[in-house]
Amino acid sequence: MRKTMKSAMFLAMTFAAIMALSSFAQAQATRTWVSGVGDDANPCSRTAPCKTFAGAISKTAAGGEISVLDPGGFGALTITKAITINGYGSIAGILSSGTNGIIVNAGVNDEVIIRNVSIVGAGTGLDGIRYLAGNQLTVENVQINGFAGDGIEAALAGSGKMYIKDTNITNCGGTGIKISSTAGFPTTTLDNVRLEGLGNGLEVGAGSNFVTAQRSTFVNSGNGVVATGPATINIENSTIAFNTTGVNASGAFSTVRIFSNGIYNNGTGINIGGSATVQSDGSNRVSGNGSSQTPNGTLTKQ
Amino acid sequence: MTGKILAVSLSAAFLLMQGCGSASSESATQRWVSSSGDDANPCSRSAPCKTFAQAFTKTPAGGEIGVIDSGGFGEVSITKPITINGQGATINVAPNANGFVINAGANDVVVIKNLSLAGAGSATNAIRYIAGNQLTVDDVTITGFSGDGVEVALGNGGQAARGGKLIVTNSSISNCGKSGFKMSTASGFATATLENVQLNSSINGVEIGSGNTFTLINRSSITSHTGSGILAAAASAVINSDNSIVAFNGVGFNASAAATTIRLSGNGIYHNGEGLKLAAGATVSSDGTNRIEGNGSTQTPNGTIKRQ
Repeated sequence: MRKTMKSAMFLAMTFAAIMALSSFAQAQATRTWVSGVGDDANPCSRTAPCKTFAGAISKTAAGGEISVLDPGGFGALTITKAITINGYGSIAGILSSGTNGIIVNAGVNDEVIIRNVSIVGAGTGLDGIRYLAGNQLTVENVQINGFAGDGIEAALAGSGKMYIKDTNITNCGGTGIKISSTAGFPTTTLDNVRLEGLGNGLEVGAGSNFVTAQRSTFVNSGNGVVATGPATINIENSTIAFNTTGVNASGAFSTVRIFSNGIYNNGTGINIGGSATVQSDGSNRVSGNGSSQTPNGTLTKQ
Repeated sequence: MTGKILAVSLSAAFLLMQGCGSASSESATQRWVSSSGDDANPCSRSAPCKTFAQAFTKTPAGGEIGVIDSGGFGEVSITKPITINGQGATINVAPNANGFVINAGANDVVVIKNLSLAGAGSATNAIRYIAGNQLTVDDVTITGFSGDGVEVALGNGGQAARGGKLIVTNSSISNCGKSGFKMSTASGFATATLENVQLNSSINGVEIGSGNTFTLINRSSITSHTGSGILAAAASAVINSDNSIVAFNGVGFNASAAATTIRLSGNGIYHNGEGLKLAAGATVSSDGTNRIEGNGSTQTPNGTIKRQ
């Protein structure tokens, strides 16, 4: 009797061990799910979703996607591989008071896509998104607000590409989009981006960073657009208003090219530092500013 | 006896009405797919199908297939007028497969909207348009295909080529192994309109090839292509580009063959290896409103756009 019980217990323990092993050995899925009512002990499947992005990312294969099943807050995370986070159709929130919302620290060939997500810093969050490494970061239809630091900071140590589209960044103590990459030739494309109520709107400094922005709004901040280092910024068809300084080429050897922007009601409309250039073709509306310098370069048109 | 027959036929009529009632409680033309669906189902909202192919056969011409949740629903060949409405879902396309192949009739209009197509680097084309009167692509995100994001190859599937129209709006195409958007036609006129489209990080952004191909690009951005942002690749290709940003590409605008035409107005052409490139016998026309700065080198337009 005793022996039978012992062997039954042994069998049960073996079974439990096998179960545990098999759950560890589960292959990473190309699509995982998070839900407001999920559990990180789950496999992050559609029928058994996880609770957090951080819980889901370890169960998601490189190149895969984390989808959002229903509205919820899914926590901060660090991304170290190619992945897409997509909250389409739901309010996919990251509340990251006291910390960074998303850190992208991925491989040299990795592409990371963050789409349809709301990132809230509640006044104490550090940065909304920190882009430290990775070939490419795409931010699409993302709302970022209330960080003590920056909305998005790109601080790459090598080349990388950033695309920000249909995105609003508001009410951060630091800069809305800060690009301080120090090596390579990092490029950034902004299209339909709203930067409002920030220490600075767009700030490009340090290394040879190249930025184009179009159809965007830079309002109610310290500098609307500022180049603090030898950077090049091209701004087209945008509104730059109600800032302490609208367009500020403050760094030596910085170049800001402006075409067809409305630069209205800033303390200083355009400011040009020593050895800096602001190129225009005469198509910008510069009016109602406390003061403004005149562009000192011509934008070549053909 | 007669009463009994009457009762039976009455109850049969009642059943029939019940049947009709339940059929009409769902839209007659709306079908659904879901990652948890089953192709044995009628593709209704409550009993969705598993594949686009099965939903397509159960959807009447002019109807719509809705996507309930993200997943892989298999390649489908669209041979009649229909709308695919992803409602924000991501569609995973399998390795070596296409997402949607449009091989429809001479008068058919096909709409694909509100979805993402993910190729994970190994699927072939996201959307391949080989026949049909018109294809509209709206609010679609395409990324990671080994071939082209959207390929228009009218008549190249062996059909009687008769031209066609493509309209792409509010969409983005990135990280494809060939071109983000590519167009050719075996015969007939092919026209494409791209409005508010973001193309980035493929080999070429827009590649317009052989046949009578006419392309209009407006309010778009074409960036970070290792080949050309916008390429007129074969004689008789015509590309008109207005109010767009073309930056960080190997070549910005490339009229690479004789008898190609590119017309430029109001574009920002910045930081390409070469801004404008013209082959012998090609024409790049401008009205003098394009900003061309910060490129490694650039040729100058050799034609004028008439303004009145």
